[in-house]
Amino acid sequence: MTRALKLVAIAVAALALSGAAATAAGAPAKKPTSKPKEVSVADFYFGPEKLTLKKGQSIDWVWAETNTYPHDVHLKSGPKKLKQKASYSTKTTAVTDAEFEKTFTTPGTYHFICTIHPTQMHMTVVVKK
Amino acid sequence: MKHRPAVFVLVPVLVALVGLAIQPASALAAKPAKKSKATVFEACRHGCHYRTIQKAVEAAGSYAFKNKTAKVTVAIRPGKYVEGVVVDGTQRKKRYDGMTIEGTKKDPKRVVLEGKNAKGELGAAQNGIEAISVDGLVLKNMWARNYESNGFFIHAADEEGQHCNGYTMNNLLASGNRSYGLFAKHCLGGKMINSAGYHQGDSAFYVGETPCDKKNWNVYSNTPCQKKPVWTLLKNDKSYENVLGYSGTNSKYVRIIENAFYNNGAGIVPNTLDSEGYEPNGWNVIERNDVFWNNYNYFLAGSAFHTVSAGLGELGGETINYPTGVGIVLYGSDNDVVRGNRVFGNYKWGIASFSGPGETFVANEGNEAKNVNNEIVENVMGREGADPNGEYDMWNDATGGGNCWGANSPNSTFAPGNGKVPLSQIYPVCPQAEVEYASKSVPSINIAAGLQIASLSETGNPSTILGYAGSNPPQNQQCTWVKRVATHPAFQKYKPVEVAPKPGEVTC
Repeated sequence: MTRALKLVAIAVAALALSGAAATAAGAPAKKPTSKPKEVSVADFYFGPEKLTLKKGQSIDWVWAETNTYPHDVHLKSGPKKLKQKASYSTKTTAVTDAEFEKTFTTPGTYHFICTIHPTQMHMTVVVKK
Repeated sequence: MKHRPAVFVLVPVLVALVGLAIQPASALAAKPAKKSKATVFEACRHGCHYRTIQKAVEAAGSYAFKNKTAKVTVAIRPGKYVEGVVVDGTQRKKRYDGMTIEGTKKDPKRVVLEGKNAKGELGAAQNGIEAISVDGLVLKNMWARNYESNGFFIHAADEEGQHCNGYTMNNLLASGNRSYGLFAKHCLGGKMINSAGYHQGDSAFYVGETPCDKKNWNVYSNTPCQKKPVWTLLKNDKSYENVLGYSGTNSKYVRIIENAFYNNGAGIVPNTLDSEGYEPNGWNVIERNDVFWNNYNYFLAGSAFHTVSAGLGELGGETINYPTGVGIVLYGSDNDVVRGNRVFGNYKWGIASFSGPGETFVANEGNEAKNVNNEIVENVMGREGADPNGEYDMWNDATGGGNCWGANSPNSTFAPGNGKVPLSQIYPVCPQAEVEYASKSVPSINIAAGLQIASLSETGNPSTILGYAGSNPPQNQQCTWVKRVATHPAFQKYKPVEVAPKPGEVTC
């Protein structure tokens, strides 16, 4: 076995072990308690603009097939205790053929915008305990 | 509970093991080559350390972050790269400002960014290259094709901390992208030069939403958007067989100089829409371009591409689509200069100008799409009779104010409308005194001349702009095209391209 292959083997084994350890620690996100609520990301609106979820529920943002313009999903503000805030925003824009799913485990009020069209496109998500 | 201590011990050990395993792999990487002034990160399909452009870009971004004064270049060797590259200037511990991403060969077709089957963060890869909040990015010598959104897209959001101060897109090719080829939005200045685009579902070149000095600027404030304008340059570009050759929604301070726009649905179209910020478009210079044969009826089934636009708005229940068969369109423009262009062989109109009639037109609710203070001068129309534009060389809807026409080629033709308003009022000669945008004597609607709309109850008259653009079905726009010569005389090396309708498809 070459040195490079040995290194790959060690890495794979370590990753596998770390995965097992993470499972033992219960680190992965909990499974959503129900089907994700679908939100349309359309030319110049989120539909619906308001949603109420139970803790642990998810939203699946789906970009409309008829879109002409690029849009993103960006968390403008969220609960104070929210961790990993950046993970609630997409990194890129999309016009169509795109989805973004996120599970909400922290109760509170979330405000989302499209940074490309911030005055037209905004939505509020309320997560209850 | 009893497992927890073991896990706490195990995890750091495993993380360390993973780290050890990964570190030598990095060590195997060839150190970035220093090429004269720039540090080069090379990407290629086989034989380089970076097999994707994305990986090379991220490595270069990390290196530039650690070496604050370093100039970095991502050099891409010939090949096909099935990926969507993201240059995310909002990332921590990365610096992309001033980076160059370039194909190593001068022929852009040697480095292909392929959108078909490419995957991205949200599913299908959206753009060949998307740069977010990056200053001075340089993109060169590449071909981006078949993406769900755009070929090359550089932008910033109107958000605190985001910025896009200049960019250079040079010697790029974009084709078959769903929306735009070369696309910049919310940037202060930039260059799109020596590039080409075809078969885009909107425009091959797009500059949108030029930001103003103040976030709350609007056209009614009677102050300049930018006190010291930062200009964008489009020069030596070729745009053909797209829905639009150039589109600029709410674009400002754009010089469009010495390009060729041909065989599109329409050639050069600065426009004003509610969909983007900082309305209207204006203060642009469109000069010495060749704008010809823009008669591609993409509404027909045989078109090689189709529009992604749902139209400009609705009126009387009809969708107002982009007009086709037109060379240059000023739609809701303020202080644009159209000078010294050669405009010929467009079957409907050569240069058309019109407003979005405010509250009656869904696309412009704030009445910020009035055509005011534009100059249309010294243009050579219809190749002096050899290849005339169709119905008319000049077409204006008689709205707005302060617009003027002067020293265009002597035999230019002007659409008269219903004849109730003299031509001298519809097309005043230059110079004209500037009008104030907010003035009540500067209307965005004017039915008197029968050019914008024949009457408030009639939307279907194709000699009016709203009737023509609202043709139903939309491919019927070509019903009123006028072909004044049997075939276009040869022009340089270009060939006219049109779509043949299938039987019954056009119902004149």
